[in-house]
Amino acid sequence: MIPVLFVVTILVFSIIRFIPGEPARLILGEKATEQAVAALTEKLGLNEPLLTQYFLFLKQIFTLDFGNSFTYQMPVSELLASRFPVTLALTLMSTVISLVISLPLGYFAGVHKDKLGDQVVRTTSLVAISMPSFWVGLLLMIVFALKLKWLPAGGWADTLPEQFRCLILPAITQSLMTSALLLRNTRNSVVDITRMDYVDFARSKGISAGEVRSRHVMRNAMISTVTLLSMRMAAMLGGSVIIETVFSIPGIGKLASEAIFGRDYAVVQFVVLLFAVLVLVINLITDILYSFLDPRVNL
Amino acid sequence: MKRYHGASPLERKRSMPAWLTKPSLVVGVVIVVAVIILALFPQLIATYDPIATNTLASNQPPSAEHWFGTDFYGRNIFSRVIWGTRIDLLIGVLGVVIPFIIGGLIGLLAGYYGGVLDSLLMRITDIMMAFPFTILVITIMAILGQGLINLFIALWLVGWMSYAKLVRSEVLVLKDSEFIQAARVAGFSDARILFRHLLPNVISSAVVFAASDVVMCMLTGASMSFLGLGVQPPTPEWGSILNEGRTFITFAWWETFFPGLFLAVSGVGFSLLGDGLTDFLRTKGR
Amino acid sequence: MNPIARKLTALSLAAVMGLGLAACGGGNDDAGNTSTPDATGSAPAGETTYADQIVVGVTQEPKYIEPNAPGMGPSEVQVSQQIFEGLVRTGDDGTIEPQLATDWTISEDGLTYTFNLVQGVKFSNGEDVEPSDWVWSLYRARDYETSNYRYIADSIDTVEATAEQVVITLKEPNAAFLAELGCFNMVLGDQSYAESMSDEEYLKKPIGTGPYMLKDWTQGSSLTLGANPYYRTEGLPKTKEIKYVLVSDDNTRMMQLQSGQIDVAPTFPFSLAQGVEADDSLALDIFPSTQIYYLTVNTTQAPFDDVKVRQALYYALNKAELANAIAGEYGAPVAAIVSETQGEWFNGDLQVTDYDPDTAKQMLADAGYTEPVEFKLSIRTGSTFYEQIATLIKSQVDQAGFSCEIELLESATLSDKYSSLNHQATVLQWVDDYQDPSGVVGWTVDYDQAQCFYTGLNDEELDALYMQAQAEMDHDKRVEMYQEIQQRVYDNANVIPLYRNDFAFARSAKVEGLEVNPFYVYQAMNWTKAN
Repeated sequence: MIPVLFVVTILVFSIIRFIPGEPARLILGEKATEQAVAALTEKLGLNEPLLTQYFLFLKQIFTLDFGNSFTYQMPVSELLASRFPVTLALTLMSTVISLVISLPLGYFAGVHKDKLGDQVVRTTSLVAISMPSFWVGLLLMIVFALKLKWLPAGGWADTLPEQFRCLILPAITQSLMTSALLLRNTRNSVVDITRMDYVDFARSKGISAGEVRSRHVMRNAMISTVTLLSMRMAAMLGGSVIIETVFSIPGIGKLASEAIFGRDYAVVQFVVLLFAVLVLVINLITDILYSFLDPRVNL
Repeated sequence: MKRYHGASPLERKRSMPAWLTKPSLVVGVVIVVAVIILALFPQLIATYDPIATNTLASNQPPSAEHWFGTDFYGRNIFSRVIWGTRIDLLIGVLGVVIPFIIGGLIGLLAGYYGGVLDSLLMRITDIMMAFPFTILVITIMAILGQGLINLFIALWLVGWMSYAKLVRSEVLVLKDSEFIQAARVAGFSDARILFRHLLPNVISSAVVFAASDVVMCMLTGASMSFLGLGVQPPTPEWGSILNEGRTFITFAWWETFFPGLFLAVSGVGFSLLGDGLTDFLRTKGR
Repeated sequence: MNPIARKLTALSLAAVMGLGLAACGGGNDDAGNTSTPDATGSAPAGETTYADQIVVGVTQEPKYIEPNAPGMGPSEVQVSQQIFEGLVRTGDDGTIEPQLATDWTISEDGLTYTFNLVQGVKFSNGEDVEPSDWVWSLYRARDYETSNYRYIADSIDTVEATAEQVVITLKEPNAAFLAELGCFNMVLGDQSYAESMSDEEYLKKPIGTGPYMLKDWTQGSSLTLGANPYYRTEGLPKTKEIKYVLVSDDNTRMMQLQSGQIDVAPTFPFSLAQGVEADDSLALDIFPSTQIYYLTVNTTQAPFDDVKVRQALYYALNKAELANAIAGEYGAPVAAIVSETQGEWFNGDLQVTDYDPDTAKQMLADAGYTEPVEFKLSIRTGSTFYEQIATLIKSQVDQAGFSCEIELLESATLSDKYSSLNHQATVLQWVDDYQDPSGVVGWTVDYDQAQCFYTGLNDEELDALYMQAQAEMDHDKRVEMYQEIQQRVYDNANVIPLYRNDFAFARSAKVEGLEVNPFYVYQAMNWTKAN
């Protein structure tokens, strides 16, 4: 993990500098004069050799002093600290919604395998997988914010309850694909559990049906659920770029895309690094869970 | 770890032939064939020139004249959506075919020979997969600039890894199996073992993944258009039509609704086809 | 100054004084949930109550507040102007009004300006204004390294101040100087406060003498201005807090306006105007602006190095369609680079050519072009406005002997491209910063400022004419010179004005008192929102 992180820092650092465009000119805006561009480039330290800039970046990582954002002119650490909880809340909320939707529905579909209910649930989940999230977000916004006026049409609020309300529509949008995939997974697990021949076979070997369920089927079901969830959480972190743009939510996804488009090197470096670290942490947790669920897996 | 955009093969392995009954496969095939026809012969179906503007007929709701209404420039949305099929299908297909071939090949070689190639592959994928997919694509697009070709390059750069890892893991399982050992003993060349014996046996899971990957590529392409990184205007493409219509969403729903609907329906078609294919390949395999 | 303008100035002066007097009557500052504005007096007292806070939904957050900061744009200026005041300000009708100066005299040679100051002015931290603050502030406007607007203060040679007077001496006569003083960066800051912190910090949380002060700023989400307790006119500001919230998407802004989450939406897109008009609880205010969108072409590269090709564009562009499609009734096609909102400076003799593809084709054929003239129109992504303009331009010129390809670039890539003259054509816009045409004209003809609006056309005669006009103190002669300049830019056809549009502010019907001057400056202190 450490060597991976190291290469990630090099990658992050160099990638952003491959992107064409002068940050100073962008900050100065449409009426930028040449004198001001030159003065600002100097001030931002962008005239330093690349290697010097890279070592500064490494030093910043180790001292946890991330420097200042070009566009916001505030410490990157503060920026991340204020934006990250928003995305975290969004991702967790989406995960919870996904679980709440997919587990009962998946169970229902599995129990009523191939009956009308199963067909409906399965088809719906398939449709959900195939829908563009930003489109769904816009439709939800029209219905629940514009027509029914139940929820805010996006944006952010000052108080916690209001912030929670602001996250409902984005979280539902975000959870759509995760719910659908988890639902299918749950349904198949349930189908497996209820498949009698499987249980019969085990019983013929002298193992009780209950034991079979808890030992094999449930464990397999857990492993696949954990795998799927970890993949989806990483994907949802990335998806936050789009969802947060649609709903104007100040999280790290929106920050990342703004920083990339705004050539805010200072922010891009750390926000992309943060994403990488988050994904690695999710993977680590998944691996630990695996080792609990499946003793054969060695860390 | 592996990253699959759609349903994971883990899940697929456990899904049984009964998972999908035949009608859904039929529906999937019908949709996909319809999409292909639209993409090949848009001029036969579209009623208007998709890029001719007529600002006098701006933002008109659906009518007998304009089935899906008109957009800000007075262009017929039905015609734009029909013409857009071509680009979106191209994104879906080309976004998958190239990574499928290149990634599959790399996976095959890495899995079979192991060694430097294999560890290099694993390191690269480890690093690349530390970035969320969307962030990776956006960053690459920011370097390359907006445009269709650049969108393809971004999708290819990111897409091949899933195939490589998928094929590699299958090869690792098979390479020590009896029939490959037998082929080796029989003195067949590596090329022959790789392409005649291994490839047919490992390709099915990649094919299954590819079907859901088509959907993901189409959605990603549309998302990039949505963020302003897609095709150059006035080229009709579903994501960009949707993005243009988004400005008027408060009073002209038809401009976002129809392109999104086409995107969703074609996505469903490919998903159904992919699921049907899973069953088909699995039953055939037994 | 023309007679009408003078009258208006007098009127507004009277209004300010009237307000002051009225305020003296009702003078206690209540701390309750609502406050009653003392002003207009049309509603019987006690019936209408007013909210303490007005929420403004902006699409872009300010980067800084201090007006010499790098990259001052509309989002910065609108906040900065609530906090800072200058000697004079540009009124809502575009005339120069006194602000911290009561009156002024100009020496015979046009070099020395003497301003008499309003007395008893305090900064929002309670400190008195020191004469040295004036000296420091005006030099800062002239010298601050990363400011784009140094040129506005460039003619200042020396500044001297006493408690009663500020005396400014110019390097050479500058006819536009008083107008330039009305620009947003020629304002008074507190030197000792600024020097008590790092410069970066000061750029973000400056104080001034204006009606508001920065109360809270959560970057990326909202910025709140609170009333300046030391503001010299009691009863102002009428609303205690102005809160700017960031809503980057216009549709979300529209929805939030409808649901009452925000009260005012500045620079509202015209495409959504019909939604506002259809809603009884909302209103749309339209203010004349100096905003013009231009097609600028790179004259250092083919095909636009040929003046005949550039002139053919006049007939290949349907400016009327552009204006109508994008700004509807709030826009109009234009031919001169100076906005007609600038009044007499505007050259009204220049006529907008009618769309005539055949003439354009003929002109190209006469110039020796038999094939469609290909060019790439580079515009920035993520802006509906620019995309709409480009798409319409393409569809127009493609029928008139050109073949246009639209290239969408991210703003960073685009600005690199045009500032290094590596592009062929782009669309840019301009809003003047003060009541004088020298801003946009300098940008267009003075090569050093912006390579002649990024067209690379260095017409030295024209540049000389502009320099001469700047120094000309005779008003009528100066007007004549500017008319001439506009005619010659028109003939050069490197900067092609497309259309002008008004500023549209959407607001809740409960909000009153919105006025915006042609340079995108407003005074939030006059706003009220009925409960």
